[in-house]
Amino acid sequence: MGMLSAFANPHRFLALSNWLAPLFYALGAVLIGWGLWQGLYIVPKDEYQGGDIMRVMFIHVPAAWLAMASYSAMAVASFTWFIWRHELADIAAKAIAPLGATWTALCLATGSVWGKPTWGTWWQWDDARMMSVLFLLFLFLGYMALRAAMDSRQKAARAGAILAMVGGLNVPLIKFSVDMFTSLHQDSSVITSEGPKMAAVYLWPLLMSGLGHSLLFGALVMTLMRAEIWTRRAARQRARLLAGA
Amino acid sequence: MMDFLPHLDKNAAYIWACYGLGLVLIGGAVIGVVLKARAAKSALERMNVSDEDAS
Repeated sequence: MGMLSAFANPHRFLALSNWLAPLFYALGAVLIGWGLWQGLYIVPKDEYQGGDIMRVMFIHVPAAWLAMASYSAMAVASFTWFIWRHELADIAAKAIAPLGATWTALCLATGSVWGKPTWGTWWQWDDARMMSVLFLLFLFLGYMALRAAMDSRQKAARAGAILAMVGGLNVPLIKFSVDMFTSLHQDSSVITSEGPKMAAVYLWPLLMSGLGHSLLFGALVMTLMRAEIWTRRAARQRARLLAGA
Repeated sequence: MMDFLPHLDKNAAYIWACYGLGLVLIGGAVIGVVLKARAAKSALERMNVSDEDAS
């Protein structure tokens, strides 16, 4: 708990993120670029997976990982705020939401485009994987709308935290939807109980690409958190000026 | 011309569409976030100047 309090200090966060965010931007860009180069130029096409279309995997799968991971992080940050009322945890949850929505939309859009030549359809309304990811997008958007509708920061944090925590139940549903329900989507091939089922030539570029997306996402969250801290400080200064006037 | 692009099979349009979506969405997120942070920082700096003027 003491360690959590130390990290939850906005001054310390601003000092840490001042050098960590640029580092994450640079490393993320390099790894995503390397993953794209591998995915588009180097890895052999897999005829069993439909030929070159499997190259979409190097953007679709990291987007899917980030969609689930970001919602989980938002739920954990919300839980942390709910229990310990650390302002930085609320700022983190608020920063994650629009970025999580972006990566979830990317996952849905690339999945839909991949689905057309592979399954012959852009969308399947009774598919558990597709619908649970669409529901995740609505959770992110709903979280942002709910916060925006509240008339005070405390109410926004409380309502948002409750929605984020309850919505967290959807994350395992997404992960196991292909095992529990009938789905056009293929079964898990990277994160499985028996380990990755994918050949190393595809697995390593995919993992590096996933790491690159994660670093870029982390850098963006830190930047948005810095912006929110500055915004709240400016609001406090404005209130102090008005009170003194 | 465009020889630097990889030679993809009949599904090339779908593949480029996916990478284009990635570029637009992720690039848009990066630009939006950086602009928001810059605006927040300059608003705080303006407020600090006002605070100093007032005191």
